[in-house]
Amino acid sequence: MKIENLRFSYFDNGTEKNIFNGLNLQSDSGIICFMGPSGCGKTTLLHIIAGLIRPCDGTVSNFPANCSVMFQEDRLLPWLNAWANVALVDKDRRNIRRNSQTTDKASSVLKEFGIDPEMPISSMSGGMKRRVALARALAFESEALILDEPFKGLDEDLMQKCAALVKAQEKPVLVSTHSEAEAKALGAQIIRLS
Amino acid sequence: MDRTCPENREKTSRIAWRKALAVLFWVGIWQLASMAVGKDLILPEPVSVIKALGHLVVQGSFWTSIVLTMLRIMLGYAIGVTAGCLLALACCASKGLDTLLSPIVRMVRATPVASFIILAMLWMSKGGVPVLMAAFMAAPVVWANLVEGYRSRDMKLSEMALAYRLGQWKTLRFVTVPALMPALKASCLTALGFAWKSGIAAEVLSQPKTSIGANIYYSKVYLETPELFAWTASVIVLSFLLETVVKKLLARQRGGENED
Repeated sequence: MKIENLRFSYFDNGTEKNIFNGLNLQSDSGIICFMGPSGCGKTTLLHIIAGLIRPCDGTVSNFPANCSVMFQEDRLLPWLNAWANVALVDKDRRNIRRNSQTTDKASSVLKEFGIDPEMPISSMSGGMKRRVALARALAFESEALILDEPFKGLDEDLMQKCAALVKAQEKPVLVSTHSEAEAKALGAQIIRLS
Repeated sequence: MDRTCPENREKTSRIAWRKALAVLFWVGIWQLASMAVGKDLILPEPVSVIKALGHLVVQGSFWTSIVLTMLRIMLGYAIGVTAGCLLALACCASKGLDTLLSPIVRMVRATPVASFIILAMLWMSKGGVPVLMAAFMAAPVVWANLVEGYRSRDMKLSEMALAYRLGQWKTLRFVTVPALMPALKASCLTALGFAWKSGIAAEVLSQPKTSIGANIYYSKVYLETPELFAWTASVIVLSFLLETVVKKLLARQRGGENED
């Protein structure tokens, strides 16, 4: 991945706030972890790389455009259950009707994360919702993963388990986190933003 | 097998008793007021109204009036809700259409019902006036609620739909429409009240042959106040019944699709 001369700023109450002023970055690592204090622009950088935000200037190259994004918030649809939330991102499905007799991709991914596919989102704990959001990101057919604080609210054991599942994807992965332990569990190259 | 726990059953029966006592209290106040007035012509006693109602319910024309009035108003309500949804869809899809349609819809909301009824009486047959009025009153309520619901929806979910390339159909079906369901349900209930009241008012003024409104009007003309009260009581009961039915129908519509 290569980032050249990236500039991004926005207006807040009439004053311009500079987030990146000519950021340059290059890495050949498969898994990259962005670390830094809150508000330093980790999420903004991930959104720019994912193509969700347009930078004021600069380019991002050598990173697949077809990437799967796990947001900082779970962004699950509360009116659907765990299975439907994951099955929804399956490009081949036009509808989300489940045949409980057959095992599909969404069910098997959720099982790997220890989530009951039938469970309604409304009755899930924060950690369970996080795992469904991660399962959705992994179930989406993409060439790369962009994960914003993916293990937030998970205990050590679950974090290790989820990190192993992410590593097993064998895709380029960009992660933002506050935790060195998470970066280590992923075996990622750490890039510090300030 | 009855699975309700005894405490809950007791609580439910206590609430039912309280409600019944509240109704009895107000009927008592009505009785005292009518005794103080002393004239059935101005304020009839509850017993006179019950007698008048008993006299009405055995007549076939009473039930025909009720059925036809309900058909007219529910037809207008259905047209109004559909029109409100389509208008909202158009306004949400295009800012240009929103700018174009907004003044018309706002004007309809601000215009007194009586002005519309009188105008409608010039334009169409007597039977069509309540239908049009019910539709005219329901549509802006649904439109306004849906547009407001659309504007205040969670944009983060829309961004998620974009990131996962759900496409227009899936986004509309599984993200946007379910997010609008609470606004749609609330507006359908509010619109029902508006449609019902304006439909009856339209019937009183336009007097279609067999209708509750025309009967209310004739009761007033012939100074049959107990009958006027009896017809009004029927309107109230029907309104409660319709509201219950619509509430149950809307409760069955869950936010989103998740079928086995």
